[in-house]
Amino acid sequence: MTASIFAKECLILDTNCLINLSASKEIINVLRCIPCLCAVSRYVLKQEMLSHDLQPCIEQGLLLIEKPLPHEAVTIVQIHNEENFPEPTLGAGEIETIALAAHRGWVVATDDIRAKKRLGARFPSVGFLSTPELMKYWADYTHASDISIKKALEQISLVGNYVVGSNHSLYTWWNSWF
Amino acid sequence: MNMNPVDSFDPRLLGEELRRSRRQRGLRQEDVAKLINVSRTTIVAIEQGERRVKAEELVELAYVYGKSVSEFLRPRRVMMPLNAAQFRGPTVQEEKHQEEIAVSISIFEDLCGRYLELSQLLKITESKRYPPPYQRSGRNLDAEAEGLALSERNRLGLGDGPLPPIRDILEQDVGIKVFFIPMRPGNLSGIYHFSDELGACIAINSNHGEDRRRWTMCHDYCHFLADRYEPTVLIEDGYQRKPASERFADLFPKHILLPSSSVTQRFNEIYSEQNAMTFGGLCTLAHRFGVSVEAITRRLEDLKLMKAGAWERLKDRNPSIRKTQEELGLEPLSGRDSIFPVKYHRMAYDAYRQGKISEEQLASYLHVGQAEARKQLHAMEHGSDFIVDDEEGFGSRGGLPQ
Repeated sequence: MTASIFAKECLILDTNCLINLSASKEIINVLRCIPCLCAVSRYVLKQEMLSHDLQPCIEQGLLLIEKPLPHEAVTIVQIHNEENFPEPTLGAGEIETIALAAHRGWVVATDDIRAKKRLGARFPSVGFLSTPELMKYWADYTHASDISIKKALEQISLVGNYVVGSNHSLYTWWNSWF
Repeated sequence: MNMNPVDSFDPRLLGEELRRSRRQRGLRQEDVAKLINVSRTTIVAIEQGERRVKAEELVELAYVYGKSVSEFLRPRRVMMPLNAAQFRGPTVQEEKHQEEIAVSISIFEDLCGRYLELSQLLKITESKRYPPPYQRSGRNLDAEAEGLALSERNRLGLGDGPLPPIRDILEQDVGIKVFFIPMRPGNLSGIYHFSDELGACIAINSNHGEDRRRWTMCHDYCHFLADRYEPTVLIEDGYQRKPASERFADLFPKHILLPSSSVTQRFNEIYSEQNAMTFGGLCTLAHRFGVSVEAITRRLEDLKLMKAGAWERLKDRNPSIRKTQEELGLEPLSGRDSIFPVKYHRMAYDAYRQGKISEEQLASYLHVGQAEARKQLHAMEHGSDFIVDDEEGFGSRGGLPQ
């Protein structure tokens, strides 16, 4: 499943996944093993002040910074107008990330169920991945040692304060490392 | 599909919102024009509503202003009578300061709007059990302020001793929403506003020290009690002639923070120990009541426990208050200084836990990054030994501490 989804041209990462990968201290290795381009929206990068943590990935060409084109901006404004009314429920970074993916046929890496549910329904062609799937792909692909996997997942849990949902398909795999 | 969705919005209102955001960021029109690669006249025309903003321009502007596009598209939820609030208060302000005051008011308005959004998202209707507004007779303002302070202390069961954190009293017992905002100019201490939807809201300049913030909160508390429906901006030395409402609000803090009975009692205790009121004694007394040394000294003069002009004489000697407090082992006054009221934080977490908002939106409501929002969520729930799975199983955690 994960491998087939990488057949897409690019994987665009949302903030919550980037926070987790950054916390794992294995972000460079994770991005390096992903068999397609990886990108982050300019808004996400600025908003989360992740540029410091992500700078090595950007410098090594592992992470591209993307901004919307005019026709994509129209979609972004439409989503804001329709999904965030009367009260805002989705973040601007999430909306920009998914709008870019929808227009460009990319895959989105996000852990946010609300964003996935609302925007996934709106753009059924967009594929989604999550932190556990990315980490498992990295673990399998690189044959990482048990110690490395355990340490990386612990970092995500402790530093990133991430908790995998009990309905997630990799819930058991994830928790087997703790 | 590619129709400009912005076309359905009133360009004048949209332009006004864009202008507010630019001013909040302290940017000039030419700065913004350069940043988004258009001419300055385009920005002028957009802000004046003479030219419709294109979708890509709106996305760029939101990026530059650090805001979400949604913030420009939704009608503003709290409309403060800006001019009334701004000009009813200060009368001797420079033009630059008037601009800064306007920006501070608009930030306060945005925060109130965020509060209202969360209430509506959670369908919370707050019952506002406010005391009836106090009617000033105006015959003896000082005596009236003292009477009102005593009556509030009695109503809230506060006794006559030093008050616990004022912000908590105002938020939890009185029902006022208190926001701490870094405001400019530096002599802008607080803003008071009342609306039917939100009730009473106060913005306090978070750049000020805790003793001054406590004083300002009490000042604005008085506006709530006596001039509830009039928005007010408190600027130190901002008046050529103060109206009665301001003079009354100026008198109220010393009575509520420094009641004559307990101040006299504590003064006598210290005096009898030292056979004099030393500077260290004043620092101790000030610290005990959570006010500045100036405030306690003036109050002691007021109560005729010290000679008139004591503060002026003391000030001439330029004593180091902080150093003396350190030598006496008195910690700097501290209080909760988060931007939002406690209840706002709870509502934001509740909205997230109920799956009504995304994690990014939670961070946006809390004015922190997403990593920090997660950290705060984790900290709030630390110690709870259960995990609540919502229908989607995204690992939301247990209840908030009560």
